[in-house]
Amino acid sequence: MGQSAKANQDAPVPELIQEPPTVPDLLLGMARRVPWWAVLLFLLIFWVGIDMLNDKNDRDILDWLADRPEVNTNELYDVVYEVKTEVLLVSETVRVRGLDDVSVTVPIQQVASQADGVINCPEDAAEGCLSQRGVVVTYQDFENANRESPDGVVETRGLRTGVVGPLVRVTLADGVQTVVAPNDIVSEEEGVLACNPIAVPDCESTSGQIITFNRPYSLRQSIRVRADARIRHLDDGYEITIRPNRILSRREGTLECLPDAVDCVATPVTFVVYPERIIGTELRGENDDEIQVRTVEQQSVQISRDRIINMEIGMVTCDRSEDPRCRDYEGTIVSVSGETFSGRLSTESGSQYDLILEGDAEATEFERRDIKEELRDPDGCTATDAVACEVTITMNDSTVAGRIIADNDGGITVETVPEKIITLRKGDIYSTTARTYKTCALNNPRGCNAGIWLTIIVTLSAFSLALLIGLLMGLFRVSSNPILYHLSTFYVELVRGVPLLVILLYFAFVVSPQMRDADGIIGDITHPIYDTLTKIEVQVLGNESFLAEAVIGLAVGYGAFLAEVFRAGIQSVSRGQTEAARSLGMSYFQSMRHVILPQAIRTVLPPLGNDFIAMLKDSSLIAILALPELLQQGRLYSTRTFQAIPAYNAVAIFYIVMTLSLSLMVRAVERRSRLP
Amino acid sequence: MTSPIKKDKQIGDVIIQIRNVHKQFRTPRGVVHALRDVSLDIRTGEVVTVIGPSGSGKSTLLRCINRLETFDRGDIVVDGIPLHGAKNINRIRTEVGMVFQSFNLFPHLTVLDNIMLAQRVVRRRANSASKEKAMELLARVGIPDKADVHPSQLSGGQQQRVAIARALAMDPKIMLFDEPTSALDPEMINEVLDVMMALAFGGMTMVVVSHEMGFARAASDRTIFMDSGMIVEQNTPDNLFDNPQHDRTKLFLSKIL
Repeated sequence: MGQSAKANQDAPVPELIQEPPTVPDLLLGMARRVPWWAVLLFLLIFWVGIDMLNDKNDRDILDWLADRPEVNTNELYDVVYEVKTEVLLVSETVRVRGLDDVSVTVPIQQVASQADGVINCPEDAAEGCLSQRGVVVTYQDFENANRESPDGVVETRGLRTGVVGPLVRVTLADGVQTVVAPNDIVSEEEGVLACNPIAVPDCESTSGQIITFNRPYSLRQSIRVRADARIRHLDDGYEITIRPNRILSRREGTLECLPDAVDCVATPVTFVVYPERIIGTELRGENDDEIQVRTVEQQSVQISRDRIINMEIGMVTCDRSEDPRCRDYEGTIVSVSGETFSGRLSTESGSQYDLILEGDAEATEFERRDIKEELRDPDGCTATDAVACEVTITMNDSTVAGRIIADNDGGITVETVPEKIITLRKGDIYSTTARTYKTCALNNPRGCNAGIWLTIIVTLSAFSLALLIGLLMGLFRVSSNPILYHLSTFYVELVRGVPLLVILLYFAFVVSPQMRDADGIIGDITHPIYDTLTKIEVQVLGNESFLAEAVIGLAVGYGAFLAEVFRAGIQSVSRGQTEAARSLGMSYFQSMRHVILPQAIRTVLPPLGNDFIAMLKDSSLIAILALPELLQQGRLYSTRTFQAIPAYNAVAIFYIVMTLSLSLMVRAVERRSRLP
Repeated sequence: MTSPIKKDKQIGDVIIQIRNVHKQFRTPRGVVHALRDVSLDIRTGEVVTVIGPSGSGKSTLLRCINRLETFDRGDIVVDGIPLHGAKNINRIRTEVGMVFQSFNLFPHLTVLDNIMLAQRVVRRRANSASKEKAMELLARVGIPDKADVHPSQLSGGQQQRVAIARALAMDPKIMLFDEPTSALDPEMINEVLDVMMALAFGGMTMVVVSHEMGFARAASDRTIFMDSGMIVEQNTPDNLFDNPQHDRTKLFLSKIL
């Protein structure tokens, strides 16, 4: 148009009569600009998408393609509630390791101090002794007491139970037996030794000769390996071990005796409040300060794949006589073929067998009514025969009803305990973490967090991180500061020389264990960064995983390539541009920000787009960290169903759909950003 | 031949003081001594043209004045501020405008944005004020209708005029021109020289590296001949061109005239 206007100015050219284009012409013109494969792609997405959304059964695409009924692995545990619960502190211990590499567990009562520091090897230490840094725990050590120069003594009471040579045998209140040297004994008297119901449940206080004695100890220093607190729930006696740093508050109190207890003495104890985890789905609460949560206790049964006869969806009924709060729910009913055992017949009676199973020393009982079939070798032998009677028995088929919570190569895991409704007081809730625990093979249009979505999440987050690293390192690569230049060059050369797979494994198994807590249990992680990362992982995947390591690994691996792309982009802008900007008084950063980078971005956009597509494809490498992304889910599906062809076809199609649509987008962006 | 306007010009105090400046480039093939003991004073309102063969150090001298190049020994004082070890070099650069042989316009910005960018970022002028200034300067260099096009759509002469406007937008006290016309087609040289001449007659302090004899004679107060990093000869342009003293100057002038 500009040209024709110019031509009109220069010479009076007879004006061309332009007819307005007809609608079909316009459409044809537009259609010609769209590549044929984009049309195919669009139709494919459209066809798959519409049909999948229409699928009432919410099946995965592979189930849908193979026209199989859904294997219901979809579970929705909405929220992890941490509820402040008061429990009894049974014991607190620290695990310590000395310079001699010997680990011992020390009750917290024996600990004198804990502080960050170093234990140095003594001058007379054996060769190879290494000084150690960490939390230095100073504690009373009774075992290695030095009698010549005792560091201290503690007075202990126990019941005299006998004499061994010159020593007296004593039973302490917690049931532990020890021996005491006569010169350590302070006093002996008749009396009642109050038992310690915390250490010995159902114990009875006993009367007899009470010995009070001194225990000499020496103070010893060791490095703390970890600290544990054993706690007991007051209502049901359930005991677990937690980290002491999860304890929110402590209260000293007394454990009163039951009215009908015999010889019982009220014992001083410590009550602690800790955030108990309750996983469940919120229901409508009865009133404003309470919520009701439907929970499923995690008691699970592992069933190997070859034993599954049939699986079907049905109502799982619960036993209301046992738990009045339970409700029937829809779950999976799995018919399981009976297990097969073989062993040597030991005894046999009318109703049961005793078999000595291979590898076992003792006999195992089997009820005759549970046995479906048996095979004897030699045929028809009995337990009283002279030769060993080898029996192979197959148990009856059974049914396991519950929810499938895991489905992998080893088999399926079924939760069998019916759900419960419990009421939580809102004031007691310490924290809530939303968590969707939903898995599916490749995709599931409704709220799936594995498969294609995980691939997209990982690629997007890793690429954003890689862009940051790349830009920073790219700027360092053109910096005149020798430290920054050499640092970035070292990074680029190092990372580009290592395969991405190695980087991923390195981050997952070398870097991460150094930073995570020794045990790495969710919630007991003390490192704040990893605590946050873990929370993200739980949000995305429903459990702790290598998600953070995968994202960081991909980002670090690609950061090196992007750094080179950015360096090339910056260097492709001519020196004159910098000089012009600087001669106008702009600082280094101003000229980078306003002059160099805007031009460099245009140069680097196409390679950045290519790298993004490459990263999308390389994100399949994280399958090795067992992350349920597209390829991993395809693999699992293939091993589960032996349908390799549709599984890998679908995986490939998904990657192609994503990469092709991305290259279309990259082209469009490239066209738009081109300089006039 | 002198211009009548030139006589009215006020030559003031020394604004650029160059004392015994040495500069060496370390190249893979050895050390190049680009400037050898160069000393020069330039006064306010003075227009100095620098000529000399390729590699004689004239561009290097120019670039040392706004410290696009550092120098090894000696002192350069610009507007009372010594450049050696100056911390606020960006403040000095706002006082010294520079025009390059290859224009170096910012290709991703329109002509208007090219002129406005440094005003906004460095001088922190308001958008409206910097736009007003830019339009005024574009009118002064004769292309007010090209405000919204990108540099690549302009001819070389137009681009160089935009570059001059961009430098002037910072209200510099001194303008440096590094061979401003040597990348231009012959028919475009004059439109740039006209702008430069108007600037010179307007009283701007200018250092111009150029072999444009006509401009030197018409507009400049002094012409310097450099060779091998040294100032060989300096004189009024008419005297230098018509009556060179040194053999080297004579040889050079005989080749270019």
